[in-house]
Amino acid sequence: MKLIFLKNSALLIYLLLLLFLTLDSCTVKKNPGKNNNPDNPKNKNEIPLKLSENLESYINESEIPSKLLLQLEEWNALPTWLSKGKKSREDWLIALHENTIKMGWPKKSQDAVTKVNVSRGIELAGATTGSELSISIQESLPILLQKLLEIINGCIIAESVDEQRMKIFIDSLNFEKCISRSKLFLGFLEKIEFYDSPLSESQSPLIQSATEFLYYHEFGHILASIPDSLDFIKTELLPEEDEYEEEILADYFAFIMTSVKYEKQSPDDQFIAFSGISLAMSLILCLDFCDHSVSKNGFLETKMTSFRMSRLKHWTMISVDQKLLTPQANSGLSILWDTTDKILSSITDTTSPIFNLIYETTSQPRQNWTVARNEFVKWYTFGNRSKIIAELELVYKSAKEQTKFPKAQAALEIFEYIIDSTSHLEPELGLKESVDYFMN
Amino acid sequence: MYCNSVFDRIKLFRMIVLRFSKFVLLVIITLTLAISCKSKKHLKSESNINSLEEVLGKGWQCYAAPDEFKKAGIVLEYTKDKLYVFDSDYSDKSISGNSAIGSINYSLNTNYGGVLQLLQGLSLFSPDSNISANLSRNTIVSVNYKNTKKHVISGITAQTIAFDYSKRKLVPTSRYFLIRESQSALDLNIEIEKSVLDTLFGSIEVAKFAKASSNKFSEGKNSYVLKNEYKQALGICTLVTELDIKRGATGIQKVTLSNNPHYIPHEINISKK
Repeated sequence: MKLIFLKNSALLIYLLLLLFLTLDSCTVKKNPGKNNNPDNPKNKNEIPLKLSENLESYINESEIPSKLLLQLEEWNALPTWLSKGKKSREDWLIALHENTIKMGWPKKSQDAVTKVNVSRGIELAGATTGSELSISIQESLPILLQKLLEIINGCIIAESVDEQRMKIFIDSLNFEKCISRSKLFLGFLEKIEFYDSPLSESQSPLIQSATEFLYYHEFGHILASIPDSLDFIKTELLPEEDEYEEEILADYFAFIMTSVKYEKQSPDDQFIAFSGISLAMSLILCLDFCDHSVSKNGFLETKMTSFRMSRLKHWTMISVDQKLLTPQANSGLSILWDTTDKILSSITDTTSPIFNLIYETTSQPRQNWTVARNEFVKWYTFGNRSKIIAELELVYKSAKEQTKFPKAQAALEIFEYIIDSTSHLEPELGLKESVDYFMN
Repeated sequence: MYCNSVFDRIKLFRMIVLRFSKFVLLVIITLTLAISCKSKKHLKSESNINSLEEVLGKGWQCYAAPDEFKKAGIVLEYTKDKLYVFDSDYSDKSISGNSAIGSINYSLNTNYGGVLQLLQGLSLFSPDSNISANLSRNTIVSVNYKNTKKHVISGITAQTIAFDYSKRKLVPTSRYFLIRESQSALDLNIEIEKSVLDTLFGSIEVAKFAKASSNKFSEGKNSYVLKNEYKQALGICTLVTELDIKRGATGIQKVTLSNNPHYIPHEINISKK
């Protein structure tokens, strides 16, 4: 009897288990196992590469397909800003953010998170409001600032007036070279929306100041989204400035933060801090220039940036007059901006980096074409795809029309080579599909 | 020893089943009942605001005060004064179909003021009488929505709306919400305790209304049932997404759709700007 009872208990447990399993199998799973999902990239034919620790965080954060990042890493063709220094840039930004929110801003602003991000195209920095408050600084920002600074430095010469003062001139002897370098840089901003070059190990204080200004600007946007928190810096706007009210307000906040931070610092430090503002605004001016907004009289319009800079100059001038800042702050704000303005006034068109890349590769032996392919995949991965395709189409069609020339013939072969040698990266790369319509 | 072979095992199983079949049957019946009770509990709890999410899906919420503005494609602005105001209407771009949920029973914990607001909002019963009742007294109102339809804004349309908003000058202190999906109804029945309506409007007014609108009014033991059919569907439940606004350093504004649903307070009234 005891045995039967035991068997009966076992049977009951078995029945209960069976019932439970049946019910469980009937229940629609809310989160079906990732491994069974055919859309899961892990089920696709991925390049079996080992992830570097640095790259792993980007793969998790960015929307860029991991396959492309892994391939670029394998080719040793990742952007320099992506492959090193992320941690230190992030730590620096987080420290700046923590110091800023400690200053007694409304509690809600403390919810804002800050991050260094990787995204397609050029964003520099941004503030997101809505379901979350966040400030992002683009990973490529230091390299863009560094390059612009190099270009500007190459265009000017400094001459001592006396022991304390220096006069800055445009270097007329090298101006043509300067314009040519600027055109290529602007070409990257305009036609690719991506730029890469070796990044210095140590970040220059000027680049740091520029980044700091942009961070404060974005924090200004965060505060502007919190009712009443920026009421203390209301400024009278001209009717033509109304359109740019939010940007001017955020700039004003960033200006105040910079001024407060540097008012007790040495004139040289103020010079660097305000040169940083000038550098950041000059980069924005370049991007505004590349935006191709054309005014009624046919000139490229950079109205928004110009209005913003006029305001910054105005506030700095007032602060200098009131002895809150030294005249060096004023000089710092002017030199880089004025030079950029002069350079841009001399430019009517930009150089196509794709044309340059293909043209230079035509004189290379075939075994070296990998360099062009790697560069192209990098641009296509991080840049603005539709702009790159539009540019590629122009260069391709131009080569097609001139096939009697060996260079044009070679250019077409390079196109074929790039597409064939990247076929294993499809469909993530998306190049083949995009070029099919004009190549076939 | 007892069950050395498969045959013995089968024998044992048959014996147990035969001997204890009643007991096993009882267990199965109990389990079935328990499961069915659980399912019924689900159905019953449709009348509860939170469990509607279980029926409709994550992010869904239903409103105490349904209206035409609570439909897919409407963009709401949440102002710094904490008001939800109508901002724009893309509902003509929504796709509509019969709702799988059929009818929705919804019980609302509210107060007399809330009942008043509900009746006025639904144009059900609002006589011109002075109200001197204590509007803060609590009550429960049961609402049954019939003839329900579902309206959905497609992913591409939602992206287009976000893009449209990227080009607009938005108020920095405001937040913007897009109703992605909605459930609407053409018919509704509201059951209200007799004492509530009598206290609010007076039994004479209620009786007058009952006589004049017998097709819209019925009287139970302790409650009145008010019915109405609408030409324009009433938005009763919604799934809302926030439009996140990214302001770039270059002055470019990008609007994207948040991944998480947003819950608008269920008692909210959407006002016009």
